[in-house]
Amino acid sequence: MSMKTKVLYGDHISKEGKVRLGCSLILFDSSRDEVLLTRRADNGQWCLPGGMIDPGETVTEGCEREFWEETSLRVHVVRLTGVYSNPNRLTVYPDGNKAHVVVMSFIVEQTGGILSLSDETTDARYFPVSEAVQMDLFHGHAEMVRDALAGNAVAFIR
Amino acid sequence: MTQVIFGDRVGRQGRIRVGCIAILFDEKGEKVLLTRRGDTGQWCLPSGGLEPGESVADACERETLEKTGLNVRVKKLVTIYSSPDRLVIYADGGKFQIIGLAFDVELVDGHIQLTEETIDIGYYSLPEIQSMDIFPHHRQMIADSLAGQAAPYIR
Repeated sequence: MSMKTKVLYGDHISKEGKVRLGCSLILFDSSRDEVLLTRRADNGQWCLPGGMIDPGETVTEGCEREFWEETSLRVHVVRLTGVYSNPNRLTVYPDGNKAHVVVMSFIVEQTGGILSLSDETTDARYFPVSEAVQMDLFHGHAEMVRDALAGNAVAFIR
Repeated sequence: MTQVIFGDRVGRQGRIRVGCIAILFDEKGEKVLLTRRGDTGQWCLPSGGLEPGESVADACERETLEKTGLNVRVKKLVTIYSSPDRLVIYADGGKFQIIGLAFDVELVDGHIQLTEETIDIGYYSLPEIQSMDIFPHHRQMIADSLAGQAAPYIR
């Protein structure tokens, strides 16, 4: 069995999965010239920190918990930049579970902590945003960075 | 019968479900479309759960059509509601913490009509809504929509 999380594309292919709700989190450096990316242990791709919202927590709490778990940084949510729910993609996990993942993307700001790695993360560092949007980031994450950089107050609905 | 339970972190007992909610005002922008649910008897905004195979906008538009007979188009995300202190228990025993995405929508076409899930429907003014038994968080979403803020509220 493959140990990588895969993303498949096809006409309304997300019908084959269960709905899951996740967050992707954008932390710019103070100059907004750089964005924090983490490298996934499962497939080696760079991505935005994030994860799934758990029952018993608010969306904001879920974002802050995931960021802490993956980077050891304390953050708080500043604003929602977009909701991403492409029905033509399906996420297939290493255990075979299939999901239609709805992702909310937020800009966060750091309130504490020192950047370090976790079990799920093999590397973490800031990249120039111009470089980040050109990288082979995990599916959809480059679009989320571009949307955050657009600076709209209104959230993208994608 | 659908039950709604409130309590500190009661959402832990359930699974996460994504709900999509439509906020539609009449042409003058004075009255908002509400439906009365057959299962709880309460008033609410047209809404329902996101299904696999659809986007959040698809779900909002489908649920509005199913509950009201109106074709609408999603315009703007107004509120994300995610209280962990609210648990919905359906007749089949399924328990969910519902994370609701409320959208301003615009009318495309259609005429309002009752459906299987809806025992009453209509446009109501804010003074009228004040005395109605309406989902409290939907009342908040209506207020959020009227506030007209560009950025979505995160609640």
